[in-house]
Amino acid sequence: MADTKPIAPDAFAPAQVAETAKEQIAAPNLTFSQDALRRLKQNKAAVISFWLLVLIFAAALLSLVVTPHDPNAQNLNYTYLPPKWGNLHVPFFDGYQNGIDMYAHNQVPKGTYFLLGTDYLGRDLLSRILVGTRISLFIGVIATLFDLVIGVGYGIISGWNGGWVDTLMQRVIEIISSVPNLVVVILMLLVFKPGLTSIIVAIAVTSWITMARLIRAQTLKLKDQEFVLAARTLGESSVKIAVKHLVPNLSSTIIIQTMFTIPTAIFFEAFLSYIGIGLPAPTASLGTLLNDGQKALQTQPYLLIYPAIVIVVLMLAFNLLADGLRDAFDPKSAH
Amino acid sequence: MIKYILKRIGFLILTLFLVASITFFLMKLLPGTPFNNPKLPADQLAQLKAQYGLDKPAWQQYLNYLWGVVHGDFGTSYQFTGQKVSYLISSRVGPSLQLGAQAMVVGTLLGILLGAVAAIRKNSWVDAVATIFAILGRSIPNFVFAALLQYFVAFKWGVLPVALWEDGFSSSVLPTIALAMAPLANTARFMRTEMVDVLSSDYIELARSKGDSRWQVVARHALRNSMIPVVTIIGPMAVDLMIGSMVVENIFAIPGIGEQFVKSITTNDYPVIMGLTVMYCFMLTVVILIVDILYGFIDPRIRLSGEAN
Amino acid sequence: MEEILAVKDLAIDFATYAGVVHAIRHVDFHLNKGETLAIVGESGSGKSVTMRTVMGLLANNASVVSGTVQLAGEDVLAKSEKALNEMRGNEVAMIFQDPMTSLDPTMPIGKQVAEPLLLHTKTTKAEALKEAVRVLTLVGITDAQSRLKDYPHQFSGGQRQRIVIAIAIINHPQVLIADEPTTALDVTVQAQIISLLKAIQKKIDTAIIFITHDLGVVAGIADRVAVMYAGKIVEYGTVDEIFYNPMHPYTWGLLEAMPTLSTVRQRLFAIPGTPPDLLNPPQGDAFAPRNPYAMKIDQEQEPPFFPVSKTHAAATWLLHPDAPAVEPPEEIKRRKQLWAQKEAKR
Repeated sequence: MADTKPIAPDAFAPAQVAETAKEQIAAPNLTFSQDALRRLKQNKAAVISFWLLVLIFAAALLSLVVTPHDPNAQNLNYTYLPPKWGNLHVPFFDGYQNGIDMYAHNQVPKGTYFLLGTDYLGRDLLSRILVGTRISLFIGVIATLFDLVIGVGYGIISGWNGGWVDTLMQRVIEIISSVPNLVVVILMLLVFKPGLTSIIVAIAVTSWITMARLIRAQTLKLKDQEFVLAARTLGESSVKIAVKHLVPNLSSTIIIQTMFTIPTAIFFEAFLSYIGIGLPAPTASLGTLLNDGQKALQTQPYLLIYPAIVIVVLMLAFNLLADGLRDAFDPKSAH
Repeated sequence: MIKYILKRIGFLILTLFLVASITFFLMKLLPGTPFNNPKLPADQLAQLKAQYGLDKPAWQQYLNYLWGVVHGDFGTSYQFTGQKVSYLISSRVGPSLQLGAQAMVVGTLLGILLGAVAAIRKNSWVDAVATIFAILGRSIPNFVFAALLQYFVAFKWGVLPVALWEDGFSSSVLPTIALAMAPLANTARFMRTEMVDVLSSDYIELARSKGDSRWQVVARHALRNSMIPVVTIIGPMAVDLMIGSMVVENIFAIPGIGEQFVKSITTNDYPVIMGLTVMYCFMLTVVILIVDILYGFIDPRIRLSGEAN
Repeated sequence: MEEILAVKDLAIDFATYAGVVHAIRHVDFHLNKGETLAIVGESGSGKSVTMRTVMGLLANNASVVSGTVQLAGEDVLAKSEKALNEMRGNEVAMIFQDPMTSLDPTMPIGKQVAEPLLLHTKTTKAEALKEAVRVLTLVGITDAQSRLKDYPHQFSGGQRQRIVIAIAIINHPQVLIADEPTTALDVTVQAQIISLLKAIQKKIDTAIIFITHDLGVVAGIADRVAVMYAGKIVEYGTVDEIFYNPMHPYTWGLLEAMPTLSTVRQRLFAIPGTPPDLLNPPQGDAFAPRNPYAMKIDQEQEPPFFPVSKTHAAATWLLHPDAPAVEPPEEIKRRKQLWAQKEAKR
């Protein structure tokens, strides 16, 4: 026997075991959302992405109040000035191009700098990027809101009703999704005049399909669960059940899908503006900036590269955060 | 199985009919035609309208259009006078299909490889690299990627043609890479999650307990089981490729249907837009149909239950 | 009797996000050639982890803290990956709990059954398939020849478990680990699988480790029983010793919780409480918080094994010479009376 400790005389007296100690659950008990939040916080990429997005949103909102220069002010004397960061003489940001100080060459007054350079109309790129980011985000968020209302509504109605309503609604979805969604967006933009509203509407009208499908699948699952059956037995109206019982249980699906839809909408806007049927000039958006940049790519690559960096970082942050949210809320399903 | 395929083909025809009709009426709603030039004399305008059948009532135009579509005739282009839309499409579909096929093959094969390796070496540096690849592939808009490739690889580095479709295969390398990025990223991500799932399944543990080594388990059991579901994302990837081709062909000045579509939009060449919309829809539905049938054939569970029905 | 497997002082930790889980806390047991050892315990008691260690199939986040696993005289824990691959499916094979998920859904069953043979012996494919037919027939798959090309989903749950058994025995392993092989099956099928395992054991002369949480199944198949609780073995003995002369209050609880025909009771007994948190195992006896017979020493010091007979020992302070005599539950008293009668007859 390995016990070396001397045994105390009263050691064999009955122990006092509190009743509560028996039933104590050993592991710390976390609610579903606490657990999800813990998993999300562990995902470094998602946390960094979240703060990046906060930063980008803040900068974009700030552009409502103040920008380094007037984003739409044209000055043909300042055409295609390279980036210059004051008098810091940082390589690539010193106002030189092909060994020539373009600022001196264009007789730009001392103290006037364009941190990211200027475009073919002498407009400040940084200011246009700030404003353009705001407009792209605006389009992304508003289109996603529409998409959310249509998609969630459609999904719940289709899944909840079942039967022929469901069959019909699913056939409609199948037909719509047999046309590439951007083709539909393009057709819609041909009918309505290109502009902020029509772009938002066109994107919203085509992108709700995924949301509707996911919500329908979830609704079908929830429909047969005890708490919903109980509510139905108690005679609650369908609308009330949908709002009180379905939507809260669908919330994680909705949040995750929303996070995936926003970057898609931003991409659509950029794509449309890039091929020339998006926002009309002189409105700046990430798409129009990329379009302008592409035209001068071979001589002024920075005009494409900086807006490209912004859109890539934006898409990256949204995608990483969405991935993180999905993993956190639903660690089992990956798709 | 045959009944199922016939049913699907029936639905495909119905879909195409609806898409053709909706597109037609959308185009009718459009403000004006390319003949809205006020300088055009009235008699010449009337002659043009007669030539394009625009003087007839809308329902008759619609029937004519449908009749034409059934016979593969999508009317005549406004922009290229006298050019048949069907000719315009058929003469340009080749490069697009070649690019699309190349991008699809390169993307899915590399994606499967990358995803599989990432799953096997989960949480290693390979996994990290694959994850970064996949997320970048999803986050960089294809036109940005294409433009950067063109600038850095073709223009600055000078190893491949900057644009055009004249140097045979080497002209197709950069556009293929630009197009393949999205399917590569999607496949890699999908494959990784499938494979991670499969690798933690009971039958893999059983295979290990039989004496399969790590690599034998992958080669004999895990790879096939995780590759089968990848077939299901070919449809969405085809959409990505069609959309991607519009900008990528434009950037690299490739005479394909994507480039034609964008050009027709900017010149309001409605017959071509209509024809290409139907064409895209046709290609997509055919791809989805083939994928569904293929899936039934490679998954024994579906194949055999299909026979039983 | 010759020992085929000996596990000594085995301790295994798992690294999890919440901290280190001490899943196996110093386990000793052995298995003789040709016998059946049942390891009984509730979920999470460490039965399966112990078996995966014997197979060399531990998860990545597991680490062996101490101990040895001797299989046919060789230390499994010291084996290279290659040696482990050679051992698995050859010297030791495993039957899994859920037959619905343990077969590759996209591979014909003939190929799956023949695979261990092709891996470990120099057999041609045709010969291996022939042998597969023989083994499949042995485990009770009728018309095996014509079903070689069938896929798992074309078989019922019971049939699939027979196929899993065929895979395990095709190489005549010396040790067969059955990890709850009947839990996922219907009761009638359970009995069939148990008698199949017994028949096979006779035929190929293999030792079986039978893992279960159901003592009822044990009586029909095991020679010896080890009871596990919270990562430790708390009592072991022959099947008669465990069923009729149990010493550990946890074994009492398990036996009381088992429905029997001879007792007429209104309600089934359940052991109160839940198993302890193995992140921070409690001081003293892990079972103490749920033990109605717990003494002060149980809360301070882990009990060592007190031998009851040559084959029987239990880790409970109740067996200490200074411990007061306690009154076991009615059901256990009844069993012990039967035991005493049997002993008297000898």
